[in-house]
Amino acid sequence: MKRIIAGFIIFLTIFVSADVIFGYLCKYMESRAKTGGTASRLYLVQESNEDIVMFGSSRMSHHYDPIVFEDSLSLSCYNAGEDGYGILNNYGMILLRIKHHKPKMIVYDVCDYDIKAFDPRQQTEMLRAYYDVPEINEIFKELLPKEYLKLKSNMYRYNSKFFRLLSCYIGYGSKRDSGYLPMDGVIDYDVNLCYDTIPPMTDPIKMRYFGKLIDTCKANDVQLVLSLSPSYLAPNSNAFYAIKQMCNEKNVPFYDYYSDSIISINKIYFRDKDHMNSEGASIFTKELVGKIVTDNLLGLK
Amino acid sequence: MLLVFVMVVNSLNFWIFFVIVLVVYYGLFRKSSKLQNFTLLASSYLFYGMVDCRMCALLLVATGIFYFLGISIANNNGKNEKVASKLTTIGVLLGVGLLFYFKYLDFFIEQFGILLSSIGFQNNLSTFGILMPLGISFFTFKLIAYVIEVHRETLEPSRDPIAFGTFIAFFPTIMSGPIDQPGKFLPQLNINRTWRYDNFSDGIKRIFWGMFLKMCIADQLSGYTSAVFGNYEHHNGTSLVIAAVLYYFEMYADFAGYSDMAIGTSQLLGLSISENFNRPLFAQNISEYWRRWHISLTSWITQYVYMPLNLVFRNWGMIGICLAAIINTIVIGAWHGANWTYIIFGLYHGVIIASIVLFEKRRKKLEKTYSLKKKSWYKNSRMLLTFILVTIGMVLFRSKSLGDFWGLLSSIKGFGTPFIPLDPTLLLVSIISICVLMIKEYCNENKLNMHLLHSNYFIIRVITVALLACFIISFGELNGGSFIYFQF
Repeated sequence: MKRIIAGFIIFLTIFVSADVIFGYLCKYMESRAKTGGTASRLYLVQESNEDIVMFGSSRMSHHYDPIVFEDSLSLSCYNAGEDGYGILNNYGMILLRIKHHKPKMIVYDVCDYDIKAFDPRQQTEMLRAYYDVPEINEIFKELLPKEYLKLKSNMYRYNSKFFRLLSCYIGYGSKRDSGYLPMDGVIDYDVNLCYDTIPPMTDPIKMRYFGKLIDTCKANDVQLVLSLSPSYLAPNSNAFYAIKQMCNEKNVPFYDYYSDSIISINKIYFRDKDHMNSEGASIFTKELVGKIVTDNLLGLK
Repeated sequence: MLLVFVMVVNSLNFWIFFVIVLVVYYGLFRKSSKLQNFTLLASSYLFYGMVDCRMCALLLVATGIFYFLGISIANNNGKNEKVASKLTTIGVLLGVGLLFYFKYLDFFIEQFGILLSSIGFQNNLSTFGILMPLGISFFTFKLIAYVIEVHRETLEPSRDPIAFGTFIAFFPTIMSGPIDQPGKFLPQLNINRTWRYDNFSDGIKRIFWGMFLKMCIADQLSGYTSAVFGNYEHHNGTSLVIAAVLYYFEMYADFAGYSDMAIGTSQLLGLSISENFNRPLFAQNISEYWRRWHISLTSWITQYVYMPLNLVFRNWGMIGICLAAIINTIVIGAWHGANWTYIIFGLYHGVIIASIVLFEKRRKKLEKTYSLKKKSWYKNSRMLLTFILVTIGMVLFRSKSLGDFWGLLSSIKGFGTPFIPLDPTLLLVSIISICVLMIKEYCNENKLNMHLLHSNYFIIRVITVALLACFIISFGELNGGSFIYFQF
């Protein structure tokens, strides 16, 4: 028994020390990231002061050109879209951005990640680094109460992130100046028209977080715009009905270009089924900005 | 959701469940082997029942029938040999029948329908949509082995239904093995198990090593292999070859990881179960590979299929041995599931083993003439060839259909820049982990005295386990999926 206790004490000492050192290293690299997603997030929550900030998944980062916004509205703009993340991650990032600097407008691109029931652990993994911020802590308490103890560990918080942080720290990879990542090329395979690819049921957790997003923006006097960018050969946007209805009830503008009669049917505007190339993105952004101007959402008229 | 969580051995829920079992097992019932067995039986049925209660009933009924069959066979052994043989045959047929009904019936109906259509007969044959109980391939093999061993009089029948039920339903092994030999496992249940430091220490080490294999190699690689194989038409030859090699490592790490965790968990319970792997990456031919890979299955098949077949074909000489080997590997392939890919996988391995048998004399003569056995280049090239052959077999094993396999093989052309995943750092973690695995296996294979987990020094062992735990939490895939072998 003595051996087990001795072993356990040694084990715990090494584990705690490694956890502290690992956490320190990761935080250090994170706070000095030069490139990649880490640098973009760092910029967003510590430096950015643009008037318009845009959030969403990869469809946001590839579809919305901030230069078009800046030229048309004479307001600074930043694209904070992140590959593979939906409302759970973006709501946290929006809270951090509002806390650091309140923008005039937030544009949110709605996608599959905002309606399907993806694992909340995966969808909030980028927020783990901000676990100590009370607003983010609240999200974890609500979504993942069982993770409470695990999140006390730095190794768990930064699980699988070390090498990514290291590459961002040494400056490997691209730097996102305006956040926009234009795509080149044209879709090179056939896409079949499919009516039931997206289930019509919207994840209630995601709906609750959309409600929270709308309330937060209203409470902070930030104009929120929800938008559905075009998808190649998308027959309709029925899958997003619940979010549209919520926007309608709460008087939030929702611009639906998902099955746009010009862009969505034209192969030359797409890199793949879900992502437009830079040509498509430019046409779409101009359309959207025109609509925002027409509807005078920022009171510029 | 809880149901799914509990059955995954690398989940926190499983370990909470296991700690409760340990407390009851050693804390309350340490003085009675019967109560300890009862704890194991109850927790095994709870564990299994979490998946589906109906499956629990099937397990219970099958266990009950084989329990009484075992006693009846033993009562007739020596006195009424014919009855004992008949009862054994009934037992074997019952076990095979269970497996056939739940695992293969739908497949045979489907294939029969296709055959009728191909020769011009209109038919309306529809499958039953039978739900396959988890672990059926594992527990039916245990049941069959039990009746055969009792009939051969190499094993006394169990007259304790609790102990027998524990052997069949033992929760660390019921989902994915190892398939325990009744003669090895059952006697351990007759004595009460006490808390021993050696068991605890060895068990913990095995569990952490298993977790490392599963979370740092298998789960990290599965993203890459799924992305490439799931969409092979859009990938070049380089990506497909890399994915095939990585899939071998993924399979090995996934299955060996599970086996290590099962062995470690059993050790914590004071029970010793069969080893399932013995460094298969160092095998120098396919026959040796099967002596190192899924050992508990291959030794079962060798004992109950290959040996009897060898007797049947004993007058056929070399052809008989080859035929027995081919049937043997086809049974191994078919054991995995009802799909032509598994049967062809078995045939593929069987043909290679048969050619090894056929050319063995010539090979040995060449080895002697040129003293090849001592030359490292000869050993390494044999290892590499085996690795390539197994990798091709793994691709076949993974394919959904033969058409899929053929499509994938014909896509291996046009070598170019390989596919880089969205987050290449995850691939880096798995490559570092594979290097750690290879170094450990190399040292063990060549008996180099570089033990860390098994060092003579207590402090080194503890530090190694602690660092392994830190590495798993920092770099492992903590939200990983289920084990590949759960589907069999």
